[in-house]
Amino acid sequence: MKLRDNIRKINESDGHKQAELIQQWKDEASANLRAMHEGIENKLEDTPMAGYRQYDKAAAYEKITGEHYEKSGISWKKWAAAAVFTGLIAMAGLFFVNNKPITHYAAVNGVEIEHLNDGTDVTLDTGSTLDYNGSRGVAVTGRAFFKVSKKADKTPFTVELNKGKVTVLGTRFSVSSYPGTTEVAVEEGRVKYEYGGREVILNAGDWMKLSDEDIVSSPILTGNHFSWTTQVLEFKNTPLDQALQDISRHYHQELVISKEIKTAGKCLLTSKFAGENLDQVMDELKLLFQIQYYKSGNRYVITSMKC
Amino acid sequence: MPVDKETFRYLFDTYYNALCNYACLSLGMNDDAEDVVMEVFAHIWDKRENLSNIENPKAYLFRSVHHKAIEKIRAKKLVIVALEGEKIVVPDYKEEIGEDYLLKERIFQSIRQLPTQCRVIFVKSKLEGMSHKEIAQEMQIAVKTVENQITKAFKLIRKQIDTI
Repeated sequence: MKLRDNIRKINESDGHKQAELIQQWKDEASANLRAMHEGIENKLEDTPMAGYRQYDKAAAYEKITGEHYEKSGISWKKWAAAAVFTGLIAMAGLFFVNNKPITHYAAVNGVEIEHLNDGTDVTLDTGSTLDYNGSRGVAVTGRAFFKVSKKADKTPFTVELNKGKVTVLGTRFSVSSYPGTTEVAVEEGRVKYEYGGREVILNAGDWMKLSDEDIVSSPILTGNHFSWTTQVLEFKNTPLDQALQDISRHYHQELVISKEIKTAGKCLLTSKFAGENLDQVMDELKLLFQIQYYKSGNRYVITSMKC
Repeated sequence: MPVDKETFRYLFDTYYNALCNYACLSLGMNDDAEDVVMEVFAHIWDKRENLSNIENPKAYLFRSVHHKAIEKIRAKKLVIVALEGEKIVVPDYKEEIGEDYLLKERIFQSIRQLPTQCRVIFVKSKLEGMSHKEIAQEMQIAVKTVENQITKAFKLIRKQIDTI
């Protein structure tokens, strides 16, 4: 309406007046634009986001329509634009050897399952990210569990970590790549881990971690090693020190037993946690073993227990 | 004009998550909220062939979810109301609420595009409600770094939202 009015006004007036009107119109428009941006700016910081969460859109869509939810992902153009302004283009270049766009996945607020084009399924832990090159290569920060699909032509699947690289054909395994932590654990099949000119082959039931830049591997001794992917932690007469290790891994939170406690191996825990948060788990342990603990930064330090 | 599949997908992608979060306002964080939103979309899907053109999809969707949420609360609270004579209170739907939730959804989607450290810090601050000091302690970085990253996050998110 306003636009049409303005055009009419401009058309009806003489040249000098026209220029004046156009200028007036431009000023008005830029003032409006400024006001709009300032509006967003103020609103952005005042918008409470706590508790806002992501629902499983794909599952809902398939349930409603009975049709497959084709994930559109992020188009190459959009990714490139984002990469330029975040200065990530150099990193992106690494993945562009096959000229396919990188798809960027992130589990922002809860564990998410991503289905990659090649048939591989990835479970991403909260706060973790995955860059997928469109064929058989990904880069991970944080924690991810892979069910890699086997290719007829035996093209290997590679996972780049902050430190090192994992190569597999078709198998199930998890990786953790945090500052200060690099771990690989194999549930099924075989994987190869390479770092700094060394390599190690891990079979089903093996896990390894980097300890002071050295590769240390050992068998998986617990049924809860991959519990974070299902959110279910289960204990049957599990010695408490072992259980605390599982809980620590599950919540990616450091739990330390004070050195004075010698009984942790004798206390046995039988319980099941599904979806509880760490504080709820600690409350139950408090009830069962009268454990006492304090929080210091990212650590929980347990100072006493009885059983 | 019937709603074609492409339009349906567009409506679904744009509004589904915002509506679920909106429904939580009155129904709490449980499956009820998602059920209600799914019912609304299932209705559109089933009737898409002979649905008259939805002129204002935003108002239509938020209103539908609002009404369905009230129905749900009524059904659930009937027993309690009979026992205690309690009144059902559901906040009225207003245009600004829809706008507000769409903005939240856009912010949320933009968070995914942030660089890793920036995103982790922003999520801890905005979504998990941690203080700058707590974040600094947990991540073993300076409070100033936390502040800088949050400022940076807002800048990037603003840029993202402007391009939508």
